[in-house]
Amino acid sequence: MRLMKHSGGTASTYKEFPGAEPASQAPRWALLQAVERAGQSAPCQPSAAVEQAPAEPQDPPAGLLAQLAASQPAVRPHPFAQPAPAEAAIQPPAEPLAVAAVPERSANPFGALFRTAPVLEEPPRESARHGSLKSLLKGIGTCR
Amino acid sequence: MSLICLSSPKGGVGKTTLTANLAFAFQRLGLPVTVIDFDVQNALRLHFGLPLGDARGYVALAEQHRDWKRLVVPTASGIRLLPYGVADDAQRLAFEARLGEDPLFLTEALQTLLAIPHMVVLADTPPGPSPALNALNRIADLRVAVLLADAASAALVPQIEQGLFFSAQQARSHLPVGYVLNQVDRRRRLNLDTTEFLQARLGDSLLGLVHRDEALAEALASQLPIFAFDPTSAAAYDIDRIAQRLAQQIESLKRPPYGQRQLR
Repeated sequence: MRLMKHSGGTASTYKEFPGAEPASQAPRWALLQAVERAGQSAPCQPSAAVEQAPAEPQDPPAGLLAQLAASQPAVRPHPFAQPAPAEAAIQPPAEPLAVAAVPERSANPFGALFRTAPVLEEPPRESARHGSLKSLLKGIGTCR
Repeated sequence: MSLICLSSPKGGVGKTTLTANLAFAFQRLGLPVTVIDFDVQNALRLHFGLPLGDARGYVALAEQHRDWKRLVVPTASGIRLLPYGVADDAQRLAFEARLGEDPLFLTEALQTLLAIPHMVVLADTPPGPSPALNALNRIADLRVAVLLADAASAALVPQIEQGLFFSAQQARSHLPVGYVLNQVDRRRRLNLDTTEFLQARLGDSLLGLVHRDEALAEALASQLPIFAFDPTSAAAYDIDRIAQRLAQQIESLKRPPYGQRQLR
């Protein structure tokens, strides 16, 4: 499944995109198949394999890829606009973990090793995370 | 004939994938391309269809062959490849020592390749400081730092700006270090914030963004260049634009500054 693919001319189409595999994908994952084959065959002999004949590359290169590139449409530009508000809202804010039961300090055999205060009494996670991110970027920004 | 060094202070930022696909993009621009893998992981070759069991590489033979053109592995794409190859510890250490101690080692090794008209040589380096990075910094025409759109990468920008990563004193290139921001995903808040922060901070030094796109990983798994696997993908578009930007910089290097041109 494709996790992300650009499928159109707007930023909103740059998102999770299951299905519609490109035709070039078949046969699938040649590299994984090569690994599978390598595992079944005898290990290579590095000492013998490093002896190589001098290569005679061609100038200019006229290989398979050049032909592929010539036969394919040019990479068409697409605008990466600033994300729409709807996009930014794709990821819902993390909910604080529910704490079923907070043990009393006296009941905790490990002393103060574990949290004894309810999570809800702490500063909101969102604002704390945002504040630390801003301070980090600010710190980097002033470090020239 | 230009040497471009791609590097990053941290690992896992997608240097090798970017190097390989930039090579394909330069080839689409009609330029002859060579890629060199300076990373012991020896992963660059996987993007060019070398068999997994193929142990060929230039590192093990670098002592015997001063001209690395003789060690080039031709690929089906037409791109010339110098894979790191299989090398034992002694060979690797000797290679790194030579890179660090002999300032002419890399120059002599690449001069025949770089003498090919319009040749673009892309060098993929291991993450962080390394003898290869220092040696490449001394002779590269363009230096590119690859970063992720996250706070850890952003925190390393001051080091690069201060010349602590690409040594400013030893650099041949008079151009500032260029940046590529990889795996940009505007749906994620930190990613978006970091992207906007680095866009503002880096200005024209930011060569471009590569949006997070599963097509890149799928192209490698399918053993195809991104331009053959999915030419309409966001990553194909992004990488194409970055290659064009780099090609413009290469052209500008060939032309003398305005004040030094001969007027007709």
